[in-house]
Amino acid sequence: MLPQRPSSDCPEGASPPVISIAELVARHHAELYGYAYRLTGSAADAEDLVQQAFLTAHENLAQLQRAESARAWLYTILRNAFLKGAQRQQRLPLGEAEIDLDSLPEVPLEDGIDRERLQAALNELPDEFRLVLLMFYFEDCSYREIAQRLDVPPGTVMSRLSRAKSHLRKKLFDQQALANSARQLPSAPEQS
Amino acid sequence: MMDPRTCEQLDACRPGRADWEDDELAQLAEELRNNRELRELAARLEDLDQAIAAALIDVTPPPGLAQRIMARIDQAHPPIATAPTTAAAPATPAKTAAQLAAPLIAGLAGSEAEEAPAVAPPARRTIWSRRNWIVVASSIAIVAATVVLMFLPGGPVRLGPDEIITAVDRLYVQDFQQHEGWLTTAPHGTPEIPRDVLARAVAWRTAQVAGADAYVYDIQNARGKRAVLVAVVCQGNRLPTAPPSQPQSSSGRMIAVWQSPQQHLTYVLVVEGSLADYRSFVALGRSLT
Repeated sequence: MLPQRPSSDCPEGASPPVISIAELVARHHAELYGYAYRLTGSAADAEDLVQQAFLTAHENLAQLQRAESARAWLYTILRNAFLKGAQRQQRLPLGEAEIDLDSLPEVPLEDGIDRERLQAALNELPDEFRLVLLMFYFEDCSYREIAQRLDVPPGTVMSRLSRAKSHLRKKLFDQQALANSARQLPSAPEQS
Repeated sequence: MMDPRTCEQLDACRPGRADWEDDELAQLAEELRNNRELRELAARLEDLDQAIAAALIDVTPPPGLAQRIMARIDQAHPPIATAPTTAAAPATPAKTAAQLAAPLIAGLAGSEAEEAPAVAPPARRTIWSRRNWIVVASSIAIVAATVVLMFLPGGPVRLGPDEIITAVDRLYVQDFQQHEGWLTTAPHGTPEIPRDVLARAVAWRTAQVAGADAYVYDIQNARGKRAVLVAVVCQGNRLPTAPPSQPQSSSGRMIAVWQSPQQHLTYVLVVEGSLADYRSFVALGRSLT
């Protein structure tokens, strides 16, 4: 049996929440940490962001109307916390959306993607591009859902998504880019 | 060089999802039907998307994270003690959220709960007012009314994917992992396991998932690994008709939801372990091409 809702979930006079904060943490902390890590590129920042998100969730638990919406609600809180605290760092300018047929691997393997290179490529993206990309891959949002949640035109999302994916493909699969970035890695500034 | 618009449209398609109904992407679907090279490119991009998605979600949280989150909440919002039943009796010390969550986190997240002790801030006293009791009574009445409404006869049950996943995940934790309730033969009317699921059933049971009837299968794949498949008798809203390549990840479990081609059954597959473990249970088709 699940434990009873902690008394601190329900301030006196308020409606009882549809789900306890303990259950939310237990169910979603791992997934949200992964999202936060990909957003921030740093384990320490990711943990801080996840803690902040759950603290905000706890303080606003009464707003959650349906337990089924909890996952999307938590993602929204985390995204907002990230955007609120994000330092506008100078990122690399992105190229136009393109698909270079020759650079695409024939049979991409799950284990064939270098996790560090992936994170480095993510870190180079401006926040608004990285966010769109992670909402697509992590939250499994369609470009229209992303547009709705971020309150930007669908065409803008489509463009950002494609340019961000082009950037990832170039960094991950373009052999020339791999060779160049390998030479640059030792002097690359640390992202966090 | 590919037209940038086509490139954007291809990149906007989610792997394993039926996004072609979108007005913007329907135009691309038409092009794909008439262009073999474009179809092949779309298939390669879908493969890439799946590989990138799998790599992206492959992040292991640090040990004790859940406990540290609960401890931070407790520090920011100390819990309130329950009132004594008599004037002479002492107040019951309040349990912190972290203490209350410990068994839950242990159950959902494996051994991680043991790695970090909970922080217990000092308890405070309060009195349960009449308003509290009214709130509790009202809540019980609302829940009871909801349950009655859910079981009233009517049209086909329609449930959203998050609603189904949450309900199944809860049943999985509370009931499906128990030995009791499982049958050695399939109950009458049990549907066949879909061909996309690469496993055989070794035990069966029935259940109620968010008010809908469901058939539950304890399944085993060729490697001997076990998982739970649930076939919920309901119409899913805008679900794919094949197992998705990217399941949701929750507390060490992979949870995927899709519906039958006839859209009268919604399937939920719960696999303990990694994405690779999940994929050992399903045949991933090409929904886009």
